[in-house]
Amino acid sequence: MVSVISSVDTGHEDMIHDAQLDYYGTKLATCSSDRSIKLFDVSSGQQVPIADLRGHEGPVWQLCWAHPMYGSVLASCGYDRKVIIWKETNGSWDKLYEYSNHDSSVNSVCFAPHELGLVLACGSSDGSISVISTTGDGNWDAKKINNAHTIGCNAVSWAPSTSPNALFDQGARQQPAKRFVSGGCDNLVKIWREEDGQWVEDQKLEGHSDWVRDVAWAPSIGLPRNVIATCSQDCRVIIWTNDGTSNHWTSRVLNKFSDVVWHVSWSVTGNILAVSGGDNKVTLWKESVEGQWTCISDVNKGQGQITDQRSSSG
Amino acid sequence: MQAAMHNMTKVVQDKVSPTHNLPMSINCDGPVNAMDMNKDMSKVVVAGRQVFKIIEVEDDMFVETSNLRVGKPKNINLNYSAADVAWNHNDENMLASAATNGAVVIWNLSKQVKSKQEFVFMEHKRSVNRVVFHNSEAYQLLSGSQDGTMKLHDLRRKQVTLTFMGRSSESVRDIQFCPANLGYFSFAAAYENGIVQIWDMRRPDRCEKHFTAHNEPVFALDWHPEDKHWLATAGRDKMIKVWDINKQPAQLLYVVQTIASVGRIKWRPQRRYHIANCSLLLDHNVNVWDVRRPYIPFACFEQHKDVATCVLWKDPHILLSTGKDYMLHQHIFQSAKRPGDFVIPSGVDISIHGDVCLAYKERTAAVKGKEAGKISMFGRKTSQSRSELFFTQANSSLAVFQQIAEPNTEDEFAAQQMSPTQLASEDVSMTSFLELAKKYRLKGLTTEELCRHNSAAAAAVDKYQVAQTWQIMGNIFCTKTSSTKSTSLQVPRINVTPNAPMDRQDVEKGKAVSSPDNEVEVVRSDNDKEKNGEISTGTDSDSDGESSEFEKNQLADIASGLGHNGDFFFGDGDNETLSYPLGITVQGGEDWTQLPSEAFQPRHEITGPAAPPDRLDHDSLMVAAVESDAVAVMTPIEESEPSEQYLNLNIDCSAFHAGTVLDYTSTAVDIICCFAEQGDIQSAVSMLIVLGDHVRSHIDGESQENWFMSYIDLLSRFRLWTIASEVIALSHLPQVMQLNQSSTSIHTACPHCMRTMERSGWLCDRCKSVVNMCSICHCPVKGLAVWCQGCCHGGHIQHIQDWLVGNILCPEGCGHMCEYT
Repeated sequence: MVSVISSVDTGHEDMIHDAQLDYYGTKLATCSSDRSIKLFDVSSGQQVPIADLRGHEGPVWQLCWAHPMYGSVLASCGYDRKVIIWKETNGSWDKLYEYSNHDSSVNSVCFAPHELGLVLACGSSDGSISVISTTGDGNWDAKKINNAHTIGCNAVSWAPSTSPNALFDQGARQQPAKRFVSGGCDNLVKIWREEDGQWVEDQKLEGHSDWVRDVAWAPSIGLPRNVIATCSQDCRVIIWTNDGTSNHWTSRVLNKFSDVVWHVSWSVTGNILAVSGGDNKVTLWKESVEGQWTCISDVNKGQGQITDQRSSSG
Repeated sequence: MQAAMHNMTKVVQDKVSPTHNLPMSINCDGPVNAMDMNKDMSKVVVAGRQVFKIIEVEDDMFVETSNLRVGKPKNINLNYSAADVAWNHNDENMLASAATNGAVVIWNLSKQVKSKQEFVFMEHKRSVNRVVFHNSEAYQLLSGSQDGTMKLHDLRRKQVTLTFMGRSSESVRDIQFCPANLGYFSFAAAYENGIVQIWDMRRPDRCEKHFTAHNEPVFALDWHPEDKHWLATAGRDKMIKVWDINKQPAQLLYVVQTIASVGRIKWRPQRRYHIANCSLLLDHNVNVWDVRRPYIPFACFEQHKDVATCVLWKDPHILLSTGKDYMLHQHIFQSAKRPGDFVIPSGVDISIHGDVCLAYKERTAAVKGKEAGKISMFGRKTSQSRSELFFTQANSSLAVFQQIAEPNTEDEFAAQQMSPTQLASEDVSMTSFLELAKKYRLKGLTTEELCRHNSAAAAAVDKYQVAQTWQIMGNIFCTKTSSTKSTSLQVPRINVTPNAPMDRQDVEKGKAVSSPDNEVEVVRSDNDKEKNGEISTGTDSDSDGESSEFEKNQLADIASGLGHNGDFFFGDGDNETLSYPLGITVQGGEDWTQLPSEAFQPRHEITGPAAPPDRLDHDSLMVAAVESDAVAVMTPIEESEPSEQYLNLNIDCSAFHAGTVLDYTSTAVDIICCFAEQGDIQSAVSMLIVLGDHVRSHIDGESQENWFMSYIDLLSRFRLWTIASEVIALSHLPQVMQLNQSSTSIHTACPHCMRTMERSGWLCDRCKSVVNMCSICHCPVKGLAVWCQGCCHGGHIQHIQDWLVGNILCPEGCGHMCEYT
């Protein structure tokens, strides 16, 4: 059964664009058009407001929590072309760093796996992607991929650091591969790889016929393959898989929905995909043993009802 | 005259085909500071530091008609560089410009000479920021200057008739006459100190109203074209504010947040809530806001490459703008970018506990209906488009969903086919993961006991497949070892013969007795008995053929821990099948007793594992069954009915007879790998640890490390540090073990200068002194030291102990009442 355990009164004055739970699932961060970011403690089952972060001068589009080894760190990006990294010290939240080197709205932020350090990728409407990193001494370094997506980049997502390629490259122990995937207004999904300190395009995945809205690289839990979920304005969700030993990616359309698909999100173990679309529904999908994707539950957001998509097949 | 005719036809054309307007632009050859239109909106004057031009607005293009910046270069003085420009509303040929040297210049386009300059007022002491003509009094021109005054010029008398001056001499940044139909004598003035004043032209001595609109300079204001009480102001504080100035004090109705200082604002005609703005810096766009939705622009024009300096509405659908990028643009509203349409209205995330968190856009049907009614009432002209409706009603809800396992109220047989939702709940919810992480024992007992314990733990959280696999593992490795160990001493040997229906029935009876609280179970056992009887006859004849095969559920399916409780098909040579609901295994695997052994001939007397005496027979039977399973896994897997998620395994029982020594290690390795591939890293890693040396060498170290890292990562996400640490310690992988050895140093700081001690723990590099000396003997402490955390004093443990026997205060003399625990 899926049921709504709670509706959160966020107190936002405008549309909420993103909601992210932290690494431990104890804190919930929401961001809204009203330029604020609100944090809630959800560990008790109740939503206790803990902070209201104001610093953006326009709608805040997306949030990302860093790995807790860097403390309570949250990154946000918004219409005001800024990326702000927030940090909690002794219960109070302050700006740790502000990056404002984009020429247009910043649509997406994503922290890299913690093994790579405190590294953040940001995709902007100016078509570029920035990779911001810190050495920990307060100095921040930014590398910019210009014209990564014409018209604009909508989403970025990092590959898990335990690279399946490690099995393939039987050589000496390497640095964890730095890769991330991005999706943009050019309907393309691109995979980027760092090579000698420079970011180069590794793969260009064509499959969507409209803006790519979200990309999500599945967490790999000991799995020898790469899985990426992408969703688009063309109402489709595509699952891209790569066996980890070659550069070949195969695509499979998970489903064609009746409305725009806004978000895709993987569960912690990477075997459940949550898809949220313009029809105010979130659906959960799971890959069966044979590689078929089936909808295992269907949550109607408005009412918190569910319908079982799959008849009794077990 | 001809021009007038031309304009007439143009107006007619516009009325006939209003949709024919095109976006167009012209390069003005220099940064433009301001512009204004003539009354019938056919011409635009653009002015800047190096630009002063009249541009005609054609249907499809701008045409430059005259350049007012003419004359000998030496004559072109500051009077020609305008900060603002105004076109007389009544006299088509009269223009006024404001110069940075404080001059107000009047231009007459009807002059026959090249220079159209008519007259220059030099009344202001500093630069003039704004010039405006009165809406109906053709010869009244108002100017506002940096010197803090506003002057009303009479163009016929060519002199200043009135001077308005606020109480402070703050610079005037903007002045606007109240629209003609709303207030004849009123005008508003914006000051650099954030004050806005409303003046009456008839009372130059003091203002009518006075209020602080912004905390920073006000750069622009605009009267609402329809509502005379509404005044919009904007300034450096990046806000556009809408005031009801009829109230006392002025009431703030709406606040719009922009991303940069606002340079100009202009209400959109016929749209009550729409206002256009351009920014002084940073933002090159011309934005149109709906004041009811103050955070995101309703429409956005992105043509300018540098900041836009001035905006003007030609009509509700056409907007002109000039910019520092030399350009004059005509924007068609239809082609505007609507940022509201591109925003992502929902957010979704799955927490590690399996809760789905979702933010989504609210759509209130009731409001929609109400607005729809409005549309029909006011007719097409004032109707709001649907997009506008949706635009202003932006609101979101946030919900948290939880995957709740359905309480299993049905009987055990129904549980055979778990409902899909229950599958989902097990998949997404991590509660069983947590439970198992806490309950699993990974060391301290024999392999077999660990397996048994873990099996029970898995069964307790309804992970039957994992439980069974643990049992299989336990039995694989305990049977191998039990022959060498003396555990078999406790166990009487029992013979399981293929033709032992009596035995089996006994077993089943025993089973039935052992679970007296479940009547259904007993009934079912009886049913099975009949089936078993049938089968056993077949088995009697066929078991000698050494080729009986049985089909069963794919073990991988079990291993997956998916929660599928499929049927086991256990057939013999006659293709008779018997189904076993394995999902009903509750504890200790009693149900395994129902696995008949007649399908194959046990190759030897089975030595039961260590078990409580009352369950001996069950266990031994179970071993038999387990062995068959184990062999099944060794054989190649063949997919026969993928759609039903069943995999049939073929097993050649000859292996039981032929093989003298069977090595199950590869089986176990396969199972572990299978778990890992299914994403059940917990089972894989736990089994890897428990089975330890049996399997470790058979699995590639790199993947082992990956599994361990993943599992440790997961454990730490659930804050199960102790368990994670135990897993690390038991990993036997150097790369993993070193996790427990990193970051174990404690850094200390010098108590005098608070500088971290880099080189050694007892010498401060900066103070050049030995720190942490014993308070009693004043020597550096080597070996055990204690110090009070309250005052940071301490020393040799023996010294301090001795001291504290007779004293309670710090031996250093600091007066602190030291506390040691």
